[in-house]
Amino acid sequence: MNVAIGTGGIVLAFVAALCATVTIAYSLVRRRPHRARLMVPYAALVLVGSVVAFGAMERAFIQRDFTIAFVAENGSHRTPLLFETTAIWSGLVGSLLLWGLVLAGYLVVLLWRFRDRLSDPLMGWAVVVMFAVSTFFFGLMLGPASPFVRFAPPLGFEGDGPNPLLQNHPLMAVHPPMLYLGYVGFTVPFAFAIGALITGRVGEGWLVATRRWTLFAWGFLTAGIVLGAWWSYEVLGWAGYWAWDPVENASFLPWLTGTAYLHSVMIQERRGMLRVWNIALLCATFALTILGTFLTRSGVIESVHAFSEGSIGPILLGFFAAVVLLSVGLIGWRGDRLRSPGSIDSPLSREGAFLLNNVLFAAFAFVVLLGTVFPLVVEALRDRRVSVGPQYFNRMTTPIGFVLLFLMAIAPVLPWRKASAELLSQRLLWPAWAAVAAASTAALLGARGLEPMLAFTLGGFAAGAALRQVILATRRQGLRGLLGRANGGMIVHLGVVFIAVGLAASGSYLRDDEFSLAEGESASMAGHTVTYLGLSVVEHPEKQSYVAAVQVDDVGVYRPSVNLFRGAGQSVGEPSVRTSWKDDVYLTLEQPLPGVDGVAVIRVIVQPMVSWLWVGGLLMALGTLLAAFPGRRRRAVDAVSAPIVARKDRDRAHVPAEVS
Amino acid sequence: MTSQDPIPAGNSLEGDGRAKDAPTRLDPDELAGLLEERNFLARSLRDLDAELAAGDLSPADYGTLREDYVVRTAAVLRGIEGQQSLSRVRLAARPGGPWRVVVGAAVLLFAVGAGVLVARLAGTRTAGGTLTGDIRASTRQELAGCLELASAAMSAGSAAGASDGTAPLLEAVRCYSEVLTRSPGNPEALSYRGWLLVRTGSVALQAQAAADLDAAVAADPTYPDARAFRAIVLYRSGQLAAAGKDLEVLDTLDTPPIITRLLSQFGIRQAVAEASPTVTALTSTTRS
Repeated sequence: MNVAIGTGGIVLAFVAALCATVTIAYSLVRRRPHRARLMVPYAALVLVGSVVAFGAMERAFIQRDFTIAFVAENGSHRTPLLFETTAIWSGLVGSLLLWGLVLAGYLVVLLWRFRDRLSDPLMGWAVVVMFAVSTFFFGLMLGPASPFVRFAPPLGFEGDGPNPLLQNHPLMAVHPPMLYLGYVGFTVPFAFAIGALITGRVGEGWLVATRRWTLFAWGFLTAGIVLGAWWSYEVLGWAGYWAWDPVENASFLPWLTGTAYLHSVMIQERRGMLRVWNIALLCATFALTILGTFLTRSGVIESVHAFSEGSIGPILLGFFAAVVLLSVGLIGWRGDRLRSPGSIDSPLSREGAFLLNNVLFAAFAFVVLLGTVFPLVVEALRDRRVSVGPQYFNRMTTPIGFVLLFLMAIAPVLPWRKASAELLSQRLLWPAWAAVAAASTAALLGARGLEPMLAFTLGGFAAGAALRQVILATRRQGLRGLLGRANGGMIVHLGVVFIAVGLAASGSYLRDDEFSLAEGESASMAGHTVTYLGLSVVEHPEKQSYVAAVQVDDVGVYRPSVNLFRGAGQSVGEPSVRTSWKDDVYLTLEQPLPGVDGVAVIRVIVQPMVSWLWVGGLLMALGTLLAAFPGRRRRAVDAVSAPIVARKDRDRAHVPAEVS
Repeated sequence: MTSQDPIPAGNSLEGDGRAKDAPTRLDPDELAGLLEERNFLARSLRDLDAELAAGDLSPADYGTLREDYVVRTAAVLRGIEGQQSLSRVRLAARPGGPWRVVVGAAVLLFAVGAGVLVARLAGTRTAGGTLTGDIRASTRQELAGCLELASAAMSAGSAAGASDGTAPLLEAVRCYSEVLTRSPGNPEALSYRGWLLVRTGSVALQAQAAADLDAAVAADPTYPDARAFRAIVLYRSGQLAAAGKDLEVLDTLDTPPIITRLLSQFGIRQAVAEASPTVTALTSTTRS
C-alpha cells in the first residue's frame, strides 16, 4: 500500500515538473505569456506529489512497514517514535524525498508571492529553472534512487533502526531539515539569476526581488550548521563541534559563498558594480549545494572507487557539471550587458571593505574546497589514499578569519565612496575602546597566547562597531532601529563575534584528562572537582544503558553513559555536560566499563565559553529574522548616516531625475 | 521601485536593453551601456550631495569625487554623441592601473601556497579514516601515540648513537608537550617528557627534565615510571640518598617489568646499596 501510494506521488511530481518545464519554456520561447498561468496548477501537482510520497514514507516508518527496503534498513520496532519519524533523513533516498518536498514547497510559495507577475518572462524562466531542478530530483527518485523498493522481510524481522548516533539526541529532528531548507532555498535566487541572464535583464531588479529569499536560505543554512555543531558536541563524545570532515565542509562551502553574496549584493544595489561576480556567486552557491550532495551521498567519501559502484554519484556529478556549464555559458553570452557602470573610488570605502570581504570569503571557500577534494583527486590520479587533516584547514583559515573579524569592525562605520582619516577616527572611537576593554578583561582573567588574545581583541572591536550601529539606530527610531538589513545584519555580526570568541577560548584553553575512580573518589581539574558516585544499568526497548552518576562541584549530578543498541549491536557513549556561560564540564564514561573492582574511567573535558557558540548561533538566527523585516524605508542609495526623511519628502526624493 | 514591485522594470535600459533617445549607429548593447553609465553617474552626483549633507564625506573628498564624476560624465556624453564604444570611453575617462596585475599575482600566489600546503600536510588515510579533518583524540589515545614515538626514538637512539637520535627524541617530546597543553598535570606525559629530555643528553635541557620529573612525582606519587626515571637522574647526578628514597617508594608499588629492567641496566640499586648502608638495609627489608 505504502509502496503504491509513495511511488504514485513521485510519478505525479515528476510528470508535473517535466510537463511544466517543457510547456512553460516553450511558451516563453514562443512569447505566449498567457500560458504562464499553467505554472500554478503544475506547481500544485508537484507539491501534492511530493507530500504524498513523503507522507507515505513517514507512514511506512510509523507502521514499521518492512516491505519497503529503506524502512527495513533504517526502521525498527524498538526505535522510539521520534527517531522512527526522523529516520527518513538518515539515508540517501529519504533525504531526496525531503529535498523534493522542500523544493516543491519553495516553488509554491514563490508562485504565491509573485502571483501578480507570472507573465513576466524573467519570472517565467526562473520558474522553469525551479521545475527543471524538481524534474531532476524526482527523476532520480524514479530511477537509481527509488525510495520505495520492495523488500521481503523474513519471519520475525524487527529491523536494526537508524545508526545509533542518529537516535541519540532530539536535535536530529531539526538539524537536517534546517540544512535542507538552506540548501534547497538557494535554488530560488539561482533560478532568478538564470532567468535574468536568459532575458538579459541583468540590472538590479531581480536582485531586489530575491534578496529576502537569499537571506532566508542563508539563515536556514546557518541555523542548520550551528545545530549540526551542537549535535556533534552533544552526541559524539569528544567534546568537539567542528572536525573539518567532508560532510561539514559540504555544508560550509555554500554558506561561505552565500555570505560573500549577501555582502557583495549591497555593492551592486548601491554602486552598480560586481554584476558578473554576484551572478557567479549565486550560481557557485547553488552548484556547491549539488557538489555537497554529491560528496555526502555518492559514496565518494569512502573512496572514489565506491563512488563508481553506485549510479547516483555520476548522475549528481553530471548535474553539477551541467549547472556550472550553463552558468558559465550564460554569463559569457551576456558578458556585454553585465558590464558594471560603477567603479571603486577609494579602497578606504564601504565598497572597498566589502570587496576585500568577498575576496577573503572566496579564498576561504577555495581553501575548504581544495582541502576537501584533494584526497579524491590524488586517489583518482595516483591511486593513493590520503587524508587532509585539520592542521591544513586551521592553518589556512585562521588568518583569514582574523582579517574578516577586523573588517567586521571597520566596514559598518565606513561611508560609501571614500572615507577620510578624521571621520574614521571619530567613528572608530567606541569600537577601539571596546577592543581595549575586551583585551584587558581577557588578560586580567588569565588569557594568554597570541591567537586567542587577537581573537578577543578583534572580537571586542567588531562587537563595538556593531553595537555602535545598533545603538545609533535604536536611538533614532526606537525598536524599529533593530529591523532592516543594516541593523539586523549588525545583530548577525554580534552572533559571529560570540562564535569567534567561543571558538578561540574553547580551542585554546581546553583541558582534557581521564580519571580512574572508585565509588566515592574525586578528581580535580581546571578548578572543578568531579566525584564518581556509582553505576546503574537502565533497560530501554532499543538499548541497554550503563549510566555513571558523577557529582560536578556542588552543582549537581551528571550522568554520562554507554548505550548498547540491541539492533546494531553497537555501543555508543553518551556524554553529559554541565554548561555555564564561563565553561563546560564535559563528562564521558570510557571503556572498559566498571568491573568487580567498581572503578570507572571518567573522561573529563573542561572547555571555556562553549555556550557562547550556541548563543552566537541564536543571535545570528535572530539577526537574520530582523534583517528580513523591512526597516526604515531607505533607498539602496541613501547615505550611510542619512537622517530619516518624512514620508512626503521621501516620496519626493524618489522621483527619478533623468539626465538629458 | 517599491516594495510592492518585486521585479521592477528598472530604468529605461532594462527590459529589451534599448534606449529610445539616442542615435542607433552604435551597437545597441554598447549604446545601452553608455546610457546606463550616464544615468549611473548622474545618480552618483546626486547621491554625493546627500552624503556630504549627512557627514559621510569630507568637503575635500566631496570635491575630488565630484570632479572625477563630472569628468567621467562628460566623457560618456561625448561618447554618446560621438558614437564611441563604452570601453574606449571608460579608458579615456579613467585609465586602468597596474592593480589588476598585482591582484592576479596575489591570487595565483595564494592558490599555489594553498596547494603546496595541502600537499605537504596530507597524510596517509588509514582504513576507516576520514577523507578530511579528524576528531580530537582523547588523552589516552594521544599518550599511546606519543609512547610509540618515544619507543621508536629511544630504539633509534640506542642503535645509531645519541647524537643521531636527537631529532626523533625531540619529536616525541613535542608530542608529550602537546598532551600537556590540554592536560597540564598528566604524570605520564610529564614523566616521559622528562625522561626523553634526559635521553637527548643536552645539558641545556637537563633542568627542564628534572623539573618535569619532580612535577610528575608530585602529581602522582604512586606512579612508578616517574619514580624510576627520577631515581636514575638523581643517581647519575650523584645524589644517591635521594635516589635511594625513590627506590624505597618504588619497591612498595606495582612496578612494570620494563621499568625494573631499566633500573637493572643502570645498576642503580647496587650503586645506591654500596653507597648507603641505610638504604641497603631498607631495600633488603622491603624485598624480604
